[in-house]
Amino acid sequence: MIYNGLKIDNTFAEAFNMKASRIIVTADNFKWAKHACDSFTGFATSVIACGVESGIERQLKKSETPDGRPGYSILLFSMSRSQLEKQLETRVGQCILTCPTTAVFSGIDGEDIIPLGKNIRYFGDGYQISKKIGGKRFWRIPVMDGEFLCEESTSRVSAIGGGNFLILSKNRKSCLEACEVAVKSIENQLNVITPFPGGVVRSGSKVGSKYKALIASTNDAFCPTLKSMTNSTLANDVNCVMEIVINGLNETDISIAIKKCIQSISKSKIKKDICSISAGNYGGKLGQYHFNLRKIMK
Amino acid sequence: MRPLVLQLKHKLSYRLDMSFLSDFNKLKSLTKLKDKKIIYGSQEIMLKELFNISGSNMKNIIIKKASSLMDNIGKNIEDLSIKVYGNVGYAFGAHMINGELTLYGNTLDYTASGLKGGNIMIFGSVGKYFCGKPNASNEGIKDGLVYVKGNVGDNSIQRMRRGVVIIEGNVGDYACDEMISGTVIIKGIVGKCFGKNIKRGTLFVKDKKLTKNYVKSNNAKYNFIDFYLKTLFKIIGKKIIKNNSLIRFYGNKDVNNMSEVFLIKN
Repeated sequence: MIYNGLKIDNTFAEAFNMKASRIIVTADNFKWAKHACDSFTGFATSVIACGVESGIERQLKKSETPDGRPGYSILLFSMSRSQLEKQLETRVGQCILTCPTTAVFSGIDGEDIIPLGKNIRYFGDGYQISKKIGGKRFWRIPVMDGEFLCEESTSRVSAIGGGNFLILSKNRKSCLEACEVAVKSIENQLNVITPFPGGVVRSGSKVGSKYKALIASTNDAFCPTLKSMTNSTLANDVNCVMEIVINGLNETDISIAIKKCIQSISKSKIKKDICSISAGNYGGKLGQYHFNLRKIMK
Repeated sequence: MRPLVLQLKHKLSYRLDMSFLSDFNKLKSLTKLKDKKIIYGSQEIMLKELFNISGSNMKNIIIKKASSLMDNIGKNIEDLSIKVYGNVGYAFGAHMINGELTLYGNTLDYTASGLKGGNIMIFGSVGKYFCGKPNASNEGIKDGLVYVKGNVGDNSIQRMRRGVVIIEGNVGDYACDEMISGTVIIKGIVGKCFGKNIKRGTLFVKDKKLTKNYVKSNNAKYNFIDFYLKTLFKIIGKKIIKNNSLIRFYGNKDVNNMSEVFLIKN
């Protein structure tokens, strides 16, 4: 399939069931809200070793936040409820509570409630003050710059992690530029995040390894340096492959995000250096969701 | 669906217990509602004998030309919206669990006593024991929001545990007695013996005398104020206080008193 001059391989991305939650972080200005969010979403690229996959969903205007200050919404994804709870509390405690002027609120409603500031309140050493309004409880924790305000709990919802596509390019420069164009096109899209640095992965993985201790290892089929050594799927002119991983709250949002990304590449000048768009999967046996690239781009 | 409208057919001669309104959720048809038996004076009569009933939305009720002989309006209600026009009797909104209760008139004593949740808006004045302890209980309101446009009588807001009470007018004597927690906003003058044995809670007051036993706090930034006032504005639809006009007092001569006072500057 050729979409607007861009070759789309006949393949699919394989994605998994995950648990997700959303929080809203506000501060006196965007600068400090961003510092808190960058810290919170740091080391949250893959559940393989980070516990959660997390990223900034979008920037929020003053009128969109609960306290009328500038802020960001963050999405977190995890494979289990307990891991999500643990990571959320740890990261709020270490990255948001510590950041000057910030406050944190729940950004999602659902029946499955998980703690947000419920245990962090004990940092107040008895001087914390509870306020309940509009059916929700908030904690005011005294800190050295005034007060840290946090909502007691947030909700957990079902979500999908691992939606992806691969950009196969003639050289590294154009591959990276195409990735940047794609990630920028969805930077303010609701319900999705790209958890990896800058939204891009260069170390796509396959399941298993020749070393027994490892559960994942390099995706040799897409490594241009191994073309002559392995069962490579790469064409002769492909010299660089990068992956964009998209986690979302539902299938539709991920499909829309993939489509937007590919459309944006097809509209950019860089497409002349792009050999094709492919996707990562495990043969279709592991993931519960399949995102067929050609169906999405129809 | 049009809201259900109840209007008295004739002037009441006896007190009328209106707590039957909380059963409207359970009734399956309008016919059953009209035939519902209630006690009036010493006899049992059907609802339609006392009220003209129109409309069909049993979750959205309007009571027109209410009487101060109507007691217990909104008592124990859950997920109902009731609007009342005219003065009402005792225990308006007592033990309310959830929902919206709006009154365009005055009430008698025990208004919102034992409140457990929901919003009560009163565009008038209320009597004694407002937001107080109900009979047979030693605990005041546990949650919810109450707004009073007018004045409030003596012995109000006793043993309040949670919730928000906003009073635009004056408050009588012995208010906020043994307050455990919660938020009270009073924009008028406060009577004597205010906040005796108060433990925790947040008070927003204009009356400077209430701050005399407190210590003035440093002028730090309180993130919660902006958020709290914005949320109140969303619920009430009106700006109650300007957030740049507050001075905080925290710490009291009484060591058991952990409450805080925000003085509203004119």
